Amino acid sequence: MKKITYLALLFSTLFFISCDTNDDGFYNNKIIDVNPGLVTFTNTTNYNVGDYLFVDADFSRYQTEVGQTGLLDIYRTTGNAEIFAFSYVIEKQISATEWETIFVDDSQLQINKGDASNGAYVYGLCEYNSADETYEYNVGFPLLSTGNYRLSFGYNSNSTKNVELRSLNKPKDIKLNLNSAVANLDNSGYFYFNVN
Amino acid sequence: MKKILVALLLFYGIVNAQNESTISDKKNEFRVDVLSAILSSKISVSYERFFTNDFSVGLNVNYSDSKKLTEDFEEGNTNNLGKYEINPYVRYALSKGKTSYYFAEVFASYNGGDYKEIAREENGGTAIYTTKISNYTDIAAGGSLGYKMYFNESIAVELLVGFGYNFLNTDKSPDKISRVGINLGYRF
Repeated sequence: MKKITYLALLFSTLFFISCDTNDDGFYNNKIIDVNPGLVTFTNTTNYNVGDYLFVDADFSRYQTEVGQTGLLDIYRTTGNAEIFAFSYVIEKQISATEWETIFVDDSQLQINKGDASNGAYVYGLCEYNSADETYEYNVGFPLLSTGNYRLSFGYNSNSTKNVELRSLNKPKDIKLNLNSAVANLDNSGYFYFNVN
Repeated sequence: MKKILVALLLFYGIVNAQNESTISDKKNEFRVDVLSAILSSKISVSYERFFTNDFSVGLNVNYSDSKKLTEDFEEGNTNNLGKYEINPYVRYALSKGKTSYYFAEVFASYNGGDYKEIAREENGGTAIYTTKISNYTDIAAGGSLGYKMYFNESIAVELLVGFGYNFLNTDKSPDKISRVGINLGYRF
């Protein structure tokens, strides 16, 4: 019996040690702060039903990194990533203290540049335009009913006043995360607007 | 024909003599770790020299070329890739049986491999981030527990679990190294 206990102890230790890896970090990941304004939106606080709220991005592959001299080539850094992704949320006020996420069908989004899909948040894809070496996104979100609304960019990040754009590229290439401040957000990271 | 007969008789005599000798008379053992070979494409061979007073000393040498570990390293799941270990060890038998017993060991480890970091490179007015791979070496110390059993007083099966800590170059090397295996060996 004692021998079985020893063996069980030995094997359970073996199991747990075998499970140990040094992979609690993601070592192909690089996070940098870049100039503000990579993503913008229409700063209008009053809309009518049927209008669209447009979110826009049009930024160069050459970015100024905060604290560094010289422009950073984000296209080459990422092994020629064709897409930088980011997310944002549009919510409607349903009571004095409660807000709910607005869901619309993807087909209702007005996609002019890049691509987007809508679920718990809008997942926006800035697509690389080799003609002018910029990443581009311009998508309108339909405002279908009256009420108080708000827009925020912190759904998939710890940041409130920044948007995080993440490169989508091959697993072996560097994943670049660009932090860029978004204008016209309040201190809690929201932009409030009305639909009449 | 006569020569062949003499050779066969000699061989029979050697084998017979080995069978008759007790396990305590056999002071040397070679082992191969089958668990590491199967699970992580690691070649791990060991030699152990036995003394009369329950102590033994040995040397273990590992070389790893695992496709999965290499992929993890390239895809950034780890920032170091251990390739080799040279592990001298001292063991003490915890139980008195000769054909099956528990043991404890202390070991040192000279280990090395590849290390990856992201660095910024300036090039003619623009810059990029790129991954730089360099080599690391380190020295670790640790302990293990194991269980060993013999069949026909020569064929060894050994279970071993242990770990140690690197202490010279942990910016690049893994903090911890494990010494886990199921070894098959021959004692002579």
